[in-house]
Amino acid sequence: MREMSCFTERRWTSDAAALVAIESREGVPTSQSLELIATAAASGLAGHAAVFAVSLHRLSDAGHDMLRARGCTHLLVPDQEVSPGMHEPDGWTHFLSGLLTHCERAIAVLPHTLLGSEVGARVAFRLGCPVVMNCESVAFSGHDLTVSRACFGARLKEQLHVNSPRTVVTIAGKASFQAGSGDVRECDDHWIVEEVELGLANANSMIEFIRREVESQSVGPSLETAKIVVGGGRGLEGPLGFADLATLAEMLGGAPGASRVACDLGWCPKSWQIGLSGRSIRADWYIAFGISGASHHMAGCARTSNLVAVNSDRSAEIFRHANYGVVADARSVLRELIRLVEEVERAEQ
Amino acid sequence: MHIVVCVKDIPNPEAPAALFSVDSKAMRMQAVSGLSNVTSPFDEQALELALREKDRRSDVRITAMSLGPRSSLQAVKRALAVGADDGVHIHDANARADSSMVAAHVLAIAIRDLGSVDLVITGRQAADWDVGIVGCGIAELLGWPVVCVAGRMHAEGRLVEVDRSLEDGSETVRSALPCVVTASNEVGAPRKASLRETMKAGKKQIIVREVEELWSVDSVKAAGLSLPRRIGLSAHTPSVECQYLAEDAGTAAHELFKLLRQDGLGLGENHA
Repeated sequence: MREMSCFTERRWTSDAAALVAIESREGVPTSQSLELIATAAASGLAGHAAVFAVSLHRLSDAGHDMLRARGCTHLLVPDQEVSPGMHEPDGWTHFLSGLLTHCERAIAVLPHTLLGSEVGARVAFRLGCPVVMNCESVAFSGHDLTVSRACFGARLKEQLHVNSPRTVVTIAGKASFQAGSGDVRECDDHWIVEEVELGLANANSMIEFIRREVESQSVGPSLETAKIVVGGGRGLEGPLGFADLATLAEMLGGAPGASRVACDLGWCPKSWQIGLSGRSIRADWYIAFGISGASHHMAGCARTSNLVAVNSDRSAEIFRHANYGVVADARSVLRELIRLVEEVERAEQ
Repeated sequence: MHIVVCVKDIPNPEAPAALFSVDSKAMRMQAVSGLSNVTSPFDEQALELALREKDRRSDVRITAMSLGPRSSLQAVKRALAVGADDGVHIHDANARADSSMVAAHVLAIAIRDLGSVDLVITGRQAADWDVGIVGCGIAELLGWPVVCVAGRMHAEGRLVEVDRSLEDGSETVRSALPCVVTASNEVGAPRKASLRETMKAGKKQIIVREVEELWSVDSVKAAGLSLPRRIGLSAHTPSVECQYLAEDAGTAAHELFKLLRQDGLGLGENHA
């Protein structure tokens, strides 16, 4: 065990720091943030740098326990509570930029969410350091960083090399970290929550919060984090098909999604749209009902592990991308699946 | 109110994957016959947001700005044909602003040069390199507030109210002008060019600037920028063999549910 010194008492010169952004809801880290800190703490990132979790908001005791259980030993929070009216990305950008200025060598790691991607970009421009978005793997070797990421709607992959004392990366769902040297940092069994004074009240936000609306369908996981996504297209024939789709998503503990055409037809909320001009999913299972597989849509689901296509048209493009295919009427299969899950639920109660 | 909309000309992202060919030595996309260029989809939605403001009030002037090779002029012309008032093409023949970080710097300088700009709207990300930092970059470089992933926007006086998308819903915020807004798909389908606007477009002014006027190799050093360097680019073609389940809906549902259960999923909360 080595003595863990306070973040702000050190100049991070010889020793690199990794600042991992933890997004939370009501004091509890999001599942994506927990996965990120677990990967960071257990992988090459910990071999490369001292890992700090960073949260703009105070976390609950349960939230602390969740971080500790994932190998995290040091949490940095602002010394002031964030005011309810503060525009969250402004607060995060101010706090994370401030922390990075304490470090001569550091990497800021954020989940590639709507919030993480905005904050990552802004911090990088504010400090003039390189940023790599939506990384799938990150490898360290000395001061060098090599990252791999998908581009052109996941049709191409690029590798980028970064050599900079300070770097910002945002991480796709299940990225890996590798250290070239292979040395593993000695683990601490401390648990430190450090309040850092960075004048959050002076973040000088020009943006005023007015109201927030949570979608009634959003009781489950978000499209970006769901392990199961059920998507619908023109083959669901109208809003009733999408009501069934929402039912199935809820029963499976997944998220509902849709093709662009279904959103444009008003059969479901626009926020359900998966694809090039919508959301990107990384589900373990994606069941696509009545979706033809236009490249616009496929760009948003290229990173799913198992794609199941249900379509009555055997020649539909989606079958070329699917791991499993069902050539049948999409609405009938959807209704059968709901009936089956209801049966199993009843039997297991 | 003067709105600048940034529009990027990109290879059609809806073209078949086979047309996306890579020159792995030069680490660039290769021009292939049959692969046409379009305006990046989120940028079309950025333009749509601006046009809705113009529909609502008479004092809106929209400048479409595009950075890129000669072909990028087409993105400006397409914007003029749906209702933008004038255009700026920053001609980048030698891909000096190939990096998104440099692109944000060049665009920010060009916007500052225009003077008296109230609002900049960009797409939330371009559908070629999928980076998504330019809107935020312009805002940080100009010292302006930024509101990301907008679905609706309404400007009044020196304020703009924006509905922005969140993973679990939306929030409404109000920003002081000048500011940057990035547009998301929640804007809805962008309008098509009308015959009337297309006829008028030919008479609208397009200013062409050379990127070298705004940015040089020394600018990278002067700005203290350290840029990511591309060391590899390759086609990503996952080979998938589709395993067909039963064609009877009931049997297929059984088989599918069994697959989910085998993977430990199927009931309850399943999120990563």
